[in-house]
Amino acid sequence: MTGSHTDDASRPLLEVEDLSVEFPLPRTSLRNRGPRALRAVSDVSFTMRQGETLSIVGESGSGKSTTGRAILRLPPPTSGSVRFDGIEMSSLAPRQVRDLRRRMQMIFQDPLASVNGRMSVGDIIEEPLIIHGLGRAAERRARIVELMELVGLKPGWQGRYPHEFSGGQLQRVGIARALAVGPDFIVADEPVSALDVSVQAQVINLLARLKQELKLTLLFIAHDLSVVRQLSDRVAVVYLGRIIEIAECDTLYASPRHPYTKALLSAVPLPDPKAEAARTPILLEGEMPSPLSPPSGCPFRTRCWKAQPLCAAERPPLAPVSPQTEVACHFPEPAADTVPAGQLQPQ
Amino acid sequence: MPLLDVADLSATFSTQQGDLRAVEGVSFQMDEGTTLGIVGESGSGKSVMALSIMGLIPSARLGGRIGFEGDDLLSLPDARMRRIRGSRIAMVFQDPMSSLNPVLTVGLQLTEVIRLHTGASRPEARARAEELLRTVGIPEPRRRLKDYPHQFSGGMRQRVMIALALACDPVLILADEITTALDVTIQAQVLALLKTLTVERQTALVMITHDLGVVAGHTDRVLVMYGGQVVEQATTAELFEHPRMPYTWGLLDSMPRMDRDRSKPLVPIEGVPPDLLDPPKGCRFRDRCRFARDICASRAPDLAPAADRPGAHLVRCWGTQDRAGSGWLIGTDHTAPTEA
Repeated sequence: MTGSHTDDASRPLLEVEDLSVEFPLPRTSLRNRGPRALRAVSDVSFTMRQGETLSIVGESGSGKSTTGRAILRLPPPTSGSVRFDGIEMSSLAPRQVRDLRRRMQMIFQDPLASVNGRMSVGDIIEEPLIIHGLGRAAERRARIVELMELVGLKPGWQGRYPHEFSGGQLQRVGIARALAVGPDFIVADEPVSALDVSVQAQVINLLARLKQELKLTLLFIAHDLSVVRQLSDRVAVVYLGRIIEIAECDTLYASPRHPYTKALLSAVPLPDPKAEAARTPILLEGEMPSPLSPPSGCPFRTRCWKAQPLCAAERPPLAPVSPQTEVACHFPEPAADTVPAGQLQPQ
Repeated sequence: MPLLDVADLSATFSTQQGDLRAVEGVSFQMDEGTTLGIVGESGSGKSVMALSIMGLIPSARLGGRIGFEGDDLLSLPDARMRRIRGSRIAMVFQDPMSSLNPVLTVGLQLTEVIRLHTGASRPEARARAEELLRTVGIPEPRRRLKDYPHQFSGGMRQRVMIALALACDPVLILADEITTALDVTIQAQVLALLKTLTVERQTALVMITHDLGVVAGHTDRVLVMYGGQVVEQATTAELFEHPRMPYTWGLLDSMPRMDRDRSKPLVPIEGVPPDLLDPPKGCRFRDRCRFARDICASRAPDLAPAADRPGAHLVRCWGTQDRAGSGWLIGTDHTAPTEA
């Protein structure tokens, strides 16, 4: 049930170039000044190799979810290019986009916000197969059993309804539904943030296993830096709609180069009283500015302790500072000496 | 005398399916100026316990005793309880929007509380409200008094809630998941603010959270709750260094941690929490515990001192108590034993 996927390891599976997303702001008699559009994502570029997990991490309103959705054209980006397996997505007719979605699927934070709560779990998992016209009834039934076993649900539960399931089980249903049509690329938008920690670990391990077994390429969108570290090969940090640092995972955590990344990492509380007593988090002043009135120059300069006049005058471009790291900062942090091992998947 | 002395507290709800005991047999004490963390997952009873102390769940039948400044809060008349609530004990919730009135300015809501509890005049109360907003780090406090709750960001709204809680200079603040909905850099700001305030004012703080990281850096003592019961209780340093209850190990091992080797998979706790409408006989964690033996199914363990950590470290587990002839002890080293 899988399509003709590329075996060419040298070419990226996904190439995103200068992706921007704007949401138009309606003019009304009460509001007829100010910007005409809210720019949620600005000039985002990255590539993903086949089988790679790239995480996009950022705080609320940073544009991370919008980026993930725009790649799947939900809704389409305002400008920029997304090439999937060499195909320019903006050049496709709606029908072709739908066909391509067999290979590109999404896992949501709340898997059931998007389905009918009166459908049984079996029907929820089967629905994408029907939409894409895949298999006869008997084949689809066999596929439901296969999928439920794959994600750790008892196939005997397929006649049950969503309200009979716990949060962790529901997320497994959401994962089974996304995998039903045999995709090779998955956007997972905060898939574990609503779960309790013991259940969250089950779903993280499930995602890691599925990624290996099915050779999935995973774009993982999350705000939790500890979760992101557990799953990623590379990490992109976004702030006010822009990537401000993108790096190989271990390098990013051991040696953050953007002041914002450094502050983010220092703010994560560690479950170790001694370590907590020994360190002082970098306390950023204020909050992320509104995307309706972004600052000139560097988006982070209003909260940055290193900001200089140059930062207000000129926006620093995302540029390589080492083979592992690209950073958008006029005054990046120095590189840390050592990068500890512990990489999930050496590439 | 401790500031707060909770003894054998229980909270029971009547439901169509029968009685649901959300909190059972909880006992702990707190001194002035100390910080207590209450950790647990959804449904562990941690929030119900806090609401019981505040007298804010009329639908529950409460049992036991909540000693506070010489009174038993459970037997106080409503009028006395109303005076204590807000002025001596204050509570801050996860979602400020559900506690603030959306159609009144923040200034009006603050001055109302101040005047109700202190009898201050309107100008005095306004001055005090401005001072409070400044204390919690809200810029331009005088101007912000005229704003409505929706004009504040999530982090700023949580600061307003803290200002409201501080309005009458309480001796005890209950904080229920107050940083859960905040971004990590804003969480750091709010936690730093709470730490400063509790140290400066010597306010006792109960911090209810699911996040062991928040507990590690911001509490003196910890209660771990599971299935409505306290399953482990110790000082924060002791709990993290020598966790003794298999559930606590499970929590620590299932967390992705930035200070651990990430190439090792997480160790989840399999299964689901107990159904409190029909709690299992014996230990409530036994279905999910890889050390469970026969005794765990037949008899419920008490909260009692851990065999290898005498002193104040209490555990509800047969396998870590040297009593009643359970005849076996698990994992006396300080790390969670792993399965072969």
